[in-house]
Amino acid sequence: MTAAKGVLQRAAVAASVETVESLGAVCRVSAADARKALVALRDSDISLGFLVDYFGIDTGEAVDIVYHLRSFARDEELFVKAAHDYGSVLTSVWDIFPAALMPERETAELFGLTLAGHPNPKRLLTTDGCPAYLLKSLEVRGADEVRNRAAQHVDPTALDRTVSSLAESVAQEPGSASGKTPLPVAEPGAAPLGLVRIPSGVDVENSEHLILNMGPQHPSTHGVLRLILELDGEEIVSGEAVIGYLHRGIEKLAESRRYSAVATLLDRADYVSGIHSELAFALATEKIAGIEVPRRASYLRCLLGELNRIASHITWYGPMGLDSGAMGQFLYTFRDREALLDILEDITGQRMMFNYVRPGGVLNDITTTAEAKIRTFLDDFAIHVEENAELLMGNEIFQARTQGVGVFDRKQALGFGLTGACLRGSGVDWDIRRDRPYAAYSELEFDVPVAEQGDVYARCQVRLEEMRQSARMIRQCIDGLPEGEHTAKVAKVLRPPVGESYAAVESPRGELGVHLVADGTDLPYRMRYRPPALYALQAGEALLPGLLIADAVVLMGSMDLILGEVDR
Amino acid sequence: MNPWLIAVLRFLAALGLMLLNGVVMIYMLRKVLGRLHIRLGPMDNGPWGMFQTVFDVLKLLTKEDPTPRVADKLLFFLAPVIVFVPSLMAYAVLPFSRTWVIVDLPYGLLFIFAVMSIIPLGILAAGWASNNKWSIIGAMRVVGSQVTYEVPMLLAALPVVMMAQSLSLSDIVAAQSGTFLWILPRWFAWNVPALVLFFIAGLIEAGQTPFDLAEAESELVAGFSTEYASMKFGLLFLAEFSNVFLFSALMVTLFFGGWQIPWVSPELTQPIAPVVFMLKIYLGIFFIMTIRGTLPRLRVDQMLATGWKILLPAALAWVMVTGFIIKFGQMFVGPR
Repeated sequence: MTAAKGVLQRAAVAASVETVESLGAVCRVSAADARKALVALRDSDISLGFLVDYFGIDTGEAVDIVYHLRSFARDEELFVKAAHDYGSVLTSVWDIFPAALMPERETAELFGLTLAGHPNPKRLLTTDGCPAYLLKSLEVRGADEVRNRAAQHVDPTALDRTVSSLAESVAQEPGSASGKTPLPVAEPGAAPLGLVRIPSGVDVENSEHLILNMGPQHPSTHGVLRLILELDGEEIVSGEAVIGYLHRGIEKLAESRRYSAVATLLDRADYVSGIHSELAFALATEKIAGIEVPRRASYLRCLLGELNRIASHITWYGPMGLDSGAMGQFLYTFRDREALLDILEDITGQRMMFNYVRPGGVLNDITTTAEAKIRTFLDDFAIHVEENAELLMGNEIFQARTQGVGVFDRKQALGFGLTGACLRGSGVDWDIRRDRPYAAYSELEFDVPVAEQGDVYARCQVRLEEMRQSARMIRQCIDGLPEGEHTAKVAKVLRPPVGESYAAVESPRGELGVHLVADGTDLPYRMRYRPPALYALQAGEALLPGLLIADAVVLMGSMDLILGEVDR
Repeated sequence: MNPWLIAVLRFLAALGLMLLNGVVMIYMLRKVLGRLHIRLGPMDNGPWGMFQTVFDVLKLLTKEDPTPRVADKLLFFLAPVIVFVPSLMAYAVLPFSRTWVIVDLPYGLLFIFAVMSIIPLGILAAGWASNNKWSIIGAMRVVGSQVTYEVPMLLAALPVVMMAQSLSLSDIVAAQSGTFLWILPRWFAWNVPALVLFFIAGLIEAGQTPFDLAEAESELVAGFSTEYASMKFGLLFLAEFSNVFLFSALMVTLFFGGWQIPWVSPELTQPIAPVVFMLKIYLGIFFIMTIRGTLPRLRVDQMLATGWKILLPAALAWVMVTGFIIKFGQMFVGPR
């Protein structure tokens, strides 16, 4: 990490770089120098050009803003930490890393900082009046109290103000930044990566734009996503995603749970692939506590993870058909999902909220019935997946709807912090299972599908191939399941030493990371959950201008959003 | 008998047929889609869930019928009627057999096209009067699609008229009796390009997948009918199914020999003609339903492009080609 130090010295930034055990290189800069440091690190030859995550940690003296950077070229990671005083100004870095757009808003509201230089510094997850609850000085235990405090501050005009600020922006000429209020979305997402385009045929002088509120109750928003769209005819001029309807403060709740009990919270974050978020937390805990996981447990984690990945991918695949109007797909996928949920229930005892992966191993061993069920499922799935692929992906109408729509080129995909299938659909060959192997993935054989086009269809192709690869891995897992214990000996009340760690898994939606800070007690000091779907959402939001309503539906579908994870 | 009484009875027969068709088709749709989607469809009410639709109609009839506060009340009330009545009128000219026609107009085909083109007006009224953004977008899509399908559909039917040399549906059916080339039934379906063009334009007209843009559930919630409830919604819903029925009936009449059975003389078919006609229509409906259960939906610009850039020029060209073939046929074979 001397390279990073050299870069910062040349940029005349006072910085200290040290290596933290179980975390990696951490670079500390002052709040004032943060932007300068980030620019230097991004543009230097070490090219830390990918913002993995952006969040805050309340250290008790100040709020540490953590910029988690990654260089794909050199396969390096760096945590840049900048201490901000309580209540101070948080300078936006969205023009350096567009991926910071939404996480910045979230961090500012949850730590009571004032966001400066951000194009849309509104609250993201919470309502007006909600306390900055991630601060340690605020003793909030449980969601009820947050809700009660927020209820005292409900601002009935909030919705009207949102709409009127949009209406004002309509009055401006699109594309010009000279007006009083900045365009809510089109400008920020687009400017750095050149995404915005003035929609064709818009007569700005004479035609009145329609502001359409799509969601949170809408058939194709997969939960409670709300898009405020400004339309010219059917064409979207600008769009803004409004989230937070499902916000439960999981990160705060985790601070009052023992390490073995956090998994139940994470199940409810990404409720379609609970195993993966449980696994990320367990891995992060094991890193700090130095727990050695038995091989059998690692294999079981892989097995369950891949079963869950197929279950999640077909839950994306079916609604993708619905979004594009093909009703049948949705119901065909339920053949497999039903079988999968039966298997998962057999092993974990639960169909969705598994609470199965614990620090040290897994809850219980695989059952004999489950093994037989898995083999039957694999045989069926091999046929079903090809049927599905032919029926939807092979359909000319579907291809016409998805090819060339919602294109992220490589640079945009990296800029917005996309991970997982969305990133691989844009031609970046990066899979945590292969490049940062965890559990037993280093022993399994699988291919990482990559598509170049970066459009909706490419993302579909990648996910489809991932399902086939998952099936391949499941077979390897049950064939080569090693003998031994399914869990290590772990203390009932786990007290990891003081430390910090980051563990990421390849969830069906991308890089699901857990950044854990332990203070030596039985409760986590800070648990940051990196939601891949949030990054996918802000990228999708930035791509909205210029699309038709129907395209927006397909685009948002292709990003595979799970709103439980976006809102946490 | 009193001619007025006869007229009223005939009207009631058409109305009864339309309502019954609606109930049967909704049940059929559920069952067909169920089969296509590896599920059972309704099973609880009656044997194989047969009375499900009846109960649904009863539910629709007894439901509260709210009108949105901001809606255009008169238009909101009238719109379902404007949609429903033309659909009913079109039944008047369908030839169920040589004698079973409510009104055997000499220009029946034109009449059907004329009344059917009123329906989008009703849908536009429904969308506009609802004062709901989803409704108005859905309604505008219908208007957009009308200009897309109307001309190609007429042009696609023109070769049939040229071959039958009549606009009367009964004459068109009669012209398709007998066989040619010793074995093949003399159906106009052998004019395959006209058939395909007519079918595609008809799918747009009936608002069926892959052209169900006016409702487009995943995009527009329920499109133009978002604000409708109770029996007003029932009428809109019924009219939609009635349009599918009419479209299928037109297909059968224009291209598949109407009520005739191939290789059987019309005199022998005559007693069971209505049954044959209905069976053929329901076969067509089944086909449309399988499409509905399988295909994705086109985007609105793609539909417009299909209409203007493919259907319209192709239909125009095919009218000319058919004209030439008929003319040369007359030159060499002599007039039919």
